[in-house]
Amino acid sequence: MLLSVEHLHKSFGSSLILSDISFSVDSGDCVAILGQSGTGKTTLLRCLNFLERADSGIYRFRDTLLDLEHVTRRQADAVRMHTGFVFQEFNLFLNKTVLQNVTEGLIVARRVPKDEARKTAMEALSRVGMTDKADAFPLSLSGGQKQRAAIARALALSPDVLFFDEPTSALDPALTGEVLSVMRTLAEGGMTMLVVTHELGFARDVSNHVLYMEQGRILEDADSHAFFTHPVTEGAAKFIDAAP
Amino acid sequence: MNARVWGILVDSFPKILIPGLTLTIPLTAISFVLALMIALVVALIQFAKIKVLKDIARFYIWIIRGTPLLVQLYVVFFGLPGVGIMIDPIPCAILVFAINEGAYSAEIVRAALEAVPKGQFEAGYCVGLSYFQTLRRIVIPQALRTAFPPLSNSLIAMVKDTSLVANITVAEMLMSTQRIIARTYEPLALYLEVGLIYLIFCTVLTKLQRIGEKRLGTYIEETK
Repeated sequence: MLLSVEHLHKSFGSSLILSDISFSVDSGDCVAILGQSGTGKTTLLRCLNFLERADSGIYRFRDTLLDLEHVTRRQADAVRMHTGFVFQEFNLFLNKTVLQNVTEGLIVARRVPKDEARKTAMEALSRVGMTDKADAFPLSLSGGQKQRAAIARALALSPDVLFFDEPTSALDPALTGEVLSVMRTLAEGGMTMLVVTHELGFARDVSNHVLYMEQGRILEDADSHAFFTHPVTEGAAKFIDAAP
Repeated sequence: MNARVWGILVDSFPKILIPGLTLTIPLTAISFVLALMIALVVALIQFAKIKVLKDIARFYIWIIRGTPLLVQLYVVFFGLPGVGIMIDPIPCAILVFAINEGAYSAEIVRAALEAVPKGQFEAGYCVGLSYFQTLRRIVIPQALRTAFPPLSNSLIAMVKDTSLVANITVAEMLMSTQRIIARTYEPLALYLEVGLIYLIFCTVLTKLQRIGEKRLGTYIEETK
């Protein structure tokens, strides 16, 4: 088991966003987090990387056990050293080239020598087919290229798990394919991934594990094939049927 | 215009230009650099929401923006000696200009910092950068690009505001011009001449602004 969460709660002010969330993820899993908009999927993912702070719960990551109510900055940083995060809005560093985006974390945070960082970065860029854009600035790229560069940035740090927050939702439909195919290759290569997505095709074909959420709760935690063929709850059945 | 006026203009040109080069420009340059340092610190204090210091920063901006520059010069130059603090005219001018401009520029820099998308910080954290590393390497460079045009505005305004130091006995361009007028009785020609010299200075700065914007904005320029 790579990570697990038990009884995670999170509210913003008086509104409860996540309620009693528990699940676990094994190494090599590709987990699709599904559900309507506003059910807390993104918040859950952000809590796992401490971009949001959960109010309570137990978070086990590799060998560390964290009480989410009292996580220190240092503990959060220690978890982040082993994770990568891919945002809906890419969030590439706008003042850095694609290559610098990828080397930034290696050189500044991991203190990898520059030559080595460059080599690692170029390898990561080649995995997403972006070596020819290494010296381009993010603002000159298409959405799909931006997202692939962002994936390379996360990959270069050799994380134990990659979190994807609706990685194709900000893309032109014509550009989602190139990003999804990169993600599929990663999943097939054994990368552990948690993917918040509305791409049911991807969830069905690539993920092996589905978390289906409604109103801040996990209603179904199932094998992907089982979820799509025999959803247990009425909500999930409707959700699958409504998909194009 | 007759030959006499031309003669006066040609004769006075270096007499006005030299204090421009030896006073106006260094005074502006030193004051502005100090003002930028003040502005960055004051803006970051507010941006990072540091308790107490943030209130002090707001208070400073409130006082400085709410009172005339000339009054501030008078308080420091003519007022402070009353409590035993004597400052020479030029250091006094530098001090007042830096503090005054610092308050205005702090607001420009704060706005530019706040305009950088929050996702830039989050991405920084996710690749392992600390708050200060993200600020220094990612956020501040982008903010400076945004702040550059309005800061250039302030610099150009300051070049002309330095004419106020004539009021605290510094013989800069305007005072030198007035002295020549007192001797020659040609106010129209001479005031136009000093105006032209200010215009030349500001034209050079406008050109430098273009170059600076290009340099700082390679990441934006490339896409145009």
